[in-house]
Amino acid sequence: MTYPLLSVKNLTKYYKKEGSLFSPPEDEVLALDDVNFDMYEGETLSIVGESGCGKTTLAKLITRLIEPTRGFIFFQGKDLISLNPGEMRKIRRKLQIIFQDPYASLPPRMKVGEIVGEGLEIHGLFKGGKKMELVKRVLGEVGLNAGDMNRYPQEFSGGQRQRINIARALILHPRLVVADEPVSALDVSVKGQIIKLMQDLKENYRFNYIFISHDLTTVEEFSHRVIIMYLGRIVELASTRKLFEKPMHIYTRALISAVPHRKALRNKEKFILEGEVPDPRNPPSGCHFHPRCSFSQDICQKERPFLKDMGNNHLVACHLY
Amino acid sequence: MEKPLLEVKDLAVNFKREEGFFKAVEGISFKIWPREVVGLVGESGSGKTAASLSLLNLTSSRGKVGGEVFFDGVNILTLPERKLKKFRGRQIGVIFQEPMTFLNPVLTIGVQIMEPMVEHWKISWGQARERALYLLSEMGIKDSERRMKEYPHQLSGGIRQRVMISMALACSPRLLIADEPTTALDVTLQYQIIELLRRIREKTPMAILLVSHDLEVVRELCDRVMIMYGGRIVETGGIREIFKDPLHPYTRSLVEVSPSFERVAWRLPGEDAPFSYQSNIPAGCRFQHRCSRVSRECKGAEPSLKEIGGKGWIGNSFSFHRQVRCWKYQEGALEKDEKPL
Amino acid sequence: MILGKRVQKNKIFIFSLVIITGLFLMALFAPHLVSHDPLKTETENWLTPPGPDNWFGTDRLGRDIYSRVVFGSRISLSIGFISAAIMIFTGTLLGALAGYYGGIVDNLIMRLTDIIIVFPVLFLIITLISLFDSGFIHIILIIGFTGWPVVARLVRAEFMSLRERDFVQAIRALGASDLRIITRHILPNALDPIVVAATLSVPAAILAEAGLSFLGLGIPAPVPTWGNILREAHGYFRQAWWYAAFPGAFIFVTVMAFNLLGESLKDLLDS
Repeated sequence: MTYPLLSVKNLTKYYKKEGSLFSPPEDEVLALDDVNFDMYEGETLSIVGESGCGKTTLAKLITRLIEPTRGFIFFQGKDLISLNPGEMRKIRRKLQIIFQDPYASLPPRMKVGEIVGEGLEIHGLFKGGKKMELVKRVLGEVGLNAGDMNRYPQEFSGGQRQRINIARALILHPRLVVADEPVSALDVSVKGQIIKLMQDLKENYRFNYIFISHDLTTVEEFSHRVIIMYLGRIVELASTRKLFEKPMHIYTRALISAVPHRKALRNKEKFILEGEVPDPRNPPSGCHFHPRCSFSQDICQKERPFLKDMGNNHLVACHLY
Repeated sequence: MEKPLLEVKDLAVNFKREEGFFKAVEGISFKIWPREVVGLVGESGSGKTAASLSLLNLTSSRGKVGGEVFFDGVNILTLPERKLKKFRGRQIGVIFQEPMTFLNPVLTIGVQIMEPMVEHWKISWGQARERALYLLSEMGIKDSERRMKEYPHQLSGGIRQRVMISMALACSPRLLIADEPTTALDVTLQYQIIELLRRIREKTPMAILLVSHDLEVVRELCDRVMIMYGGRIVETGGIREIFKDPLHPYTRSLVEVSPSFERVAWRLPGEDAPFSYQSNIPAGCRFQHRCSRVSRECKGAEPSLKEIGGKGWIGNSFSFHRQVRCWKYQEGALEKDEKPL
Repeated sequence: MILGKRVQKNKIFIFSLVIITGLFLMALFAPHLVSHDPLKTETENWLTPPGPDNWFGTDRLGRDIYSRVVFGSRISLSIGFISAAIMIFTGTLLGALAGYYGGIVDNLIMRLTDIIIVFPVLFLIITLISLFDSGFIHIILIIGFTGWPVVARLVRAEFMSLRERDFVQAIRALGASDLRIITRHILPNALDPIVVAATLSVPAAILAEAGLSFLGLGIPAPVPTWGNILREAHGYFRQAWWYAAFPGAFIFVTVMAFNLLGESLKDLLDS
């Protein structure tokens, strides 16, 4: 029996501003509410949802850039939350993150060579010439030139910067890369190139990745499983094929309907959502989705639906099932 | 025969920078007919926003606008600011991508919707209020009475965009410029706003220039589309033709990512080059570095925007040509290379 | 480089830099620039107006004011620079810790800065000086250690915003230690405002010294400092305008030059 590469249990995060001497604590803002899932070696997992669904919080929690309010994260069997700062720093080598904004995520005053090589230095792996050699190789693999080492990030376009980000993450040979909307800020014609690059590198470097996106169409081609999130909770989790063939949650169906000109859905009924995502400071009772759901019943306002297995590991959190 | 509502001739926008002039838009010409919905598509840095804002001379103080823009026969670029103000809002409405930066944070949205009506139409605040309420409810805002009294920061992104649209439509303009109206919104909201624009399009006689990076959004709403790259128009045509048979390799790269594209994809090997300053502009075709079908002539001189085939018709009065700026189509010999690679 | 071009265009920057360089050279070569001993009294020549022998006139003890002002620049400028250095160092260190770690560290440091800012500095200084004595070193320490809170607040704000930036988070994700993050990634990006603050701290310290000396709490007589000369001139304003005018003008020009330098530097770095 294989045990999961990553296992997330009851993960919950509330953001709150701590009160100080003179100001009382502010309202808690719900970011992530009791999230559970496992991820196995070799799979590409996508997490999809709109703004406020908690996907970026989840990315930062998994890489422990922020601390959870409750819950556990097991990575390669180790409980990440219980690690002390020194142990955590060591494990970061195996656990990398790629940020959405290719402009904000690179230090402005360092040369590309230094940026990409920094990880090696931090972990005391290679220095000097050997380091530069490795940097050159990785840059080549992400489609940049060795000559780019001595240039500054400002000289590169968004897509090229995202390549630098990928190189920086991969030079440490991580096991898991969390990519937080890596292509959302890029132009349409560049998106595909970056996704393809990540796919190719996955073969060579044998890493696994979690791909976070607000756009369901982007993830369809390459992910094995998809998690749909809404306002801090997982509402549906299924293999990509099943999710697109037979979406169960109304929210998932609405997301698929919002994709223009989808052949598969052209003749099926369309779900157009009314309203907007509610305020996370004051989430709706029961099912978070009920104010926007056309099938809402009494129970939806009262009780939170939990994920139910509808067979073949297709999980959905909805009182209709 | 009907006259075009907007005629743009050789429009150029230059921005003054420390490093010299940066040509955001270079010599673009097009026409928009009454009631027509035209898409202007390009990626970041293509000059599409600069081009659309310069139509009302709204570019920043560092920008210099050249060329001619005729609105209903009047060259609005030569008008003094005082007369230009009469065009803005009244004849031409604008929707911006990020409403928050264009709404005044200290005024209620009611005042902001009513103000242009009072100013342009010289009607009373009471009359303006009635129309504002009507507009808001038309935009699908339910408790419009209450919303009128709220300030921009109290509204969610979707509502803000609806308010912005009501403001643009307040004086029943004859042309609406919509600059990336859905880009900043979530997927499900994007869909709501597209539906709203579609309804407006059917109900009002105004023409719309929809500026977007997203060909799919343009496809939902437009009859005709112009594709920009590197400050130039590289292809124009009816939206169906563009999707069915994209001619320019750049258009093709945009169309290929569409889920509905059924042909074999070419692959664009190049990267989005950050070329923007004059010194970086290559001799020859601007797209050569990213083009998979580049040949020697592409590096020599820049191809001109060439008309292909006959005229196309929209409705029964507007005519347009299919145009493309690519060496492959320069000699008029329309050999189509449809063999899968 | 672009900055070089902008510097050339910015006339105020050049102007203030020239004045400051001039003042520096004056302090450095003071003994070569004067013909009189700034300490030598010639009581028969007291309060002579400016003339060919005594350019700035003489004081109540017949000392040459020009020589005293030129020598005074040594004390005033060195107090200005050393105190500013202490302010910047302490302020940057504490501001960085508060901004980077937040929470309790931040709370403690910020309360300390609040206390120093609200505390009437004059009383503190009077107390300290009556406890020790008002030597050069003490003045510098007192000015330095009461002036850092402004810098600390600025650095803290800068660190707080930089800490949340994606590129800093990315370095954390690589496993970098706090020391490395602070020194290699945050500090270099916070340098611009710190440089500006440093430039603006110098005139503040010079004014503080002049103020203390004027009140008789500064460097003890007969050592000439600009503040000391002003203090002595007190009471002679009507009879001898030159007595206060020249040291006053030097304080004014120095403070103005540093302020202009700071402001134009801010413009240069911002654009």
